[in-house]
Amino acid sequence: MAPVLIAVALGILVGHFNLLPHNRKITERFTTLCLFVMLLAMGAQLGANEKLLADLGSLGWQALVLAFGSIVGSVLLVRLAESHIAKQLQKSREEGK
Amino acid sequence: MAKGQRLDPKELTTKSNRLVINMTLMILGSVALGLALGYWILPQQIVSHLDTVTTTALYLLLFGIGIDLGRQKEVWVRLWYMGWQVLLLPALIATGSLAGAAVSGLLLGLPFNESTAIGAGFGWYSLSGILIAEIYNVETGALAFITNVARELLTFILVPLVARYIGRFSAVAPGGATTMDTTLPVVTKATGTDMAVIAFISGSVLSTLVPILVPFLIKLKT
Repeated sequence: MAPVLIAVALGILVGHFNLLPHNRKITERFTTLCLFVMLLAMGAQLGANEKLLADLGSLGWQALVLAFGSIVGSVLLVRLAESHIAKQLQKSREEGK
Repeated sequence: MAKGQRLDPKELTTKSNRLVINMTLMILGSVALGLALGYWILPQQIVSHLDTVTTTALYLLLFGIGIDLGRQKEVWVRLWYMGWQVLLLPALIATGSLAGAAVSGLLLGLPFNESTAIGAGFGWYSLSGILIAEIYNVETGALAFITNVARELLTFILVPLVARYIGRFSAVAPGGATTMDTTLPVVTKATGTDMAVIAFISGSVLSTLVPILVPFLIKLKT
């Protein structure tokens, strides 16, 4: 866990203070490249894992339940606070004027 | 969420929409290609070294994501002007997503750390799937990947319905972290352009939380 946070934190520092003062497109291309290399490698690991391939059907089912559950949970909570959020935003907008 | 192209909400025209869709197709395509390579072509000796490749690429990617987050000063400036109350919306979305995932996990018999870490992907499937595969195990990583792809796809279908029958702010919730790019056009179309900035900020805050919450939750002892 710590290395993950350190990698992100280092990036934030570099980005915030413009320590690599080059075109933004370059980091974008760089991250896209890393992403594809990683997805290819991850896909290959999955493809070579026969137990996992056999489980793919049940994984899909579990994924749907989890995705639907997260959506329902988040919508419910926001729904409860809907009028409160609207009022607060209205207030901060009026104060801003 | 694809997360290759960072888009300004104002620039979200049909053209950038197409870019985002291309990105999503390319992501799903490269996973499919990887699957095929791993299944039919690559010998076992190479497969056993893939771990090093994913780890190296992951840390480089995280570093790149950090650079992007650090450069996005406009988001924080906007947040400042709108008042910190704007954070209430992403906080509720995060809490609700985790609670919903935990309950679903209970139904499915998944341990608490797995279900909540998967839910903490907030729809950012590429990052959450890889993080969990790397820190925890490949099977749970695959589940996180598919779950968060499903969340993004369900968002496209559900946002117009939620906006119509439940509420405008509630319509920002399904998208999670994706409301800063891929699903932003759907949200603004369903709720109105004045929601674009709110949805964008909510998506940015949730995106920032993904690399923090996922590793934290997956490490929780059950």
